[in-house]
Amino acid sequence: MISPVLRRIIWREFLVYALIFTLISLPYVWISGATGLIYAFWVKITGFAAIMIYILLWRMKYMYLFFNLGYGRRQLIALFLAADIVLSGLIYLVILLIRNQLILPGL
Amino acid sequence: MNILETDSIQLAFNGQTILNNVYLSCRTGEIVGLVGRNGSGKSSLMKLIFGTLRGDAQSVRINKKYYSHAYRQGARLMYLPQDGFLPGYLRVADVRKLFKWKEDPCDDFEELNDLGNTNISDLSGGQKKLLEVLALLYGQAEFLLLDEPFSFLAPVTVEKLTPHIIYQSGKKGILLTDHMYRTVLDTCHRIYLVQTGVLREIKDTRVLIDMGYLPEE
Repeated sequence: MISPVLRRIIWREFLVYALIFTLISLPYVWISGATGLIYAFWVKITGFAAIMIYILLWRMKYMYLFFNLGYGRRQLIALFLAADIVLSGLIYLVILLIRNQLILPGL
Repeated sequence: MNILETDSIQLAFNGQTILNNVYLSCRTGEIVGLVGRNGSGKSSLMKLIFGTLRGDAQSVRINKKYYSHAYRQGARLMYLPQDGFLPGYLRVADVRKLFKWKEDPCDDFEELNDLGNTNISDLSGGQKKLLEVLALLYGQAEFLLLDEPFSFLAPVTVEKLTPHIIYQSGKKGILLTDHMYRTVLDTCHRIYLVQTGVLREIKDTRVLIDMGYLPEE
């Protein structure tokens, strides 16, 4: 179980940046519907690589906090990816539901 | 009693040997000190033991069991990097929770009194360093690697901190390096000088002068 403090650190160190790339990819999903998810996927892949490079170059010293708590590099990447997939998946789902007028029909 | 051992450590940068066939051990209940000139390989040795730096060869074992990346072992080993590791947006109280402190040492330090809700970014360099050292000291790891724990700290704070290090060494094995050699000599059970890639155990401070680490008196 991940503590609330650790969740906050993951949000500040990774998810907030991942969210920016999710927002960048949203127009593809809004315009093209489910097929736009393919473009969104590539935006997210590019974004993930960019975030990893950013962390490696400028935030690496803060990764020692995770290392001291027993998290390895692969575990961290898996944790970041899982959190990103859940958050982005929810956002895409809501956008698709709104677009197809399955929720908020008057919008 | 637990024992951290490392041997066969080989490390070279750009063809220059930094560490050559180094052996080092640390048991719970003892403090081992590393001294040496800047660039002699003290920090690299700590990172190699921690597992975040790969050398040309290394073997790190805890209780005879080999670990390629010791830090992954459920926080049995913790490392204090020179540059700090706590992000500024955390609060002092968050650190207590993260490292699962069972005692609160902040009461002994005026510098950290009543700062529970203060962001780390609002602390001075010395306060931040002190908090980082205490975070690890009062955390749950069996072994600590402290790289320059006394830098940025006022002499009076160092004086108050060393009893905490000694107290925690009752339960943990502590490997530390710092340029405040007098404090290191007074605090540690064993001292090693890192020079020309090898470790030499120091029994007499005169050797530190002879080996060129301390200036002639």
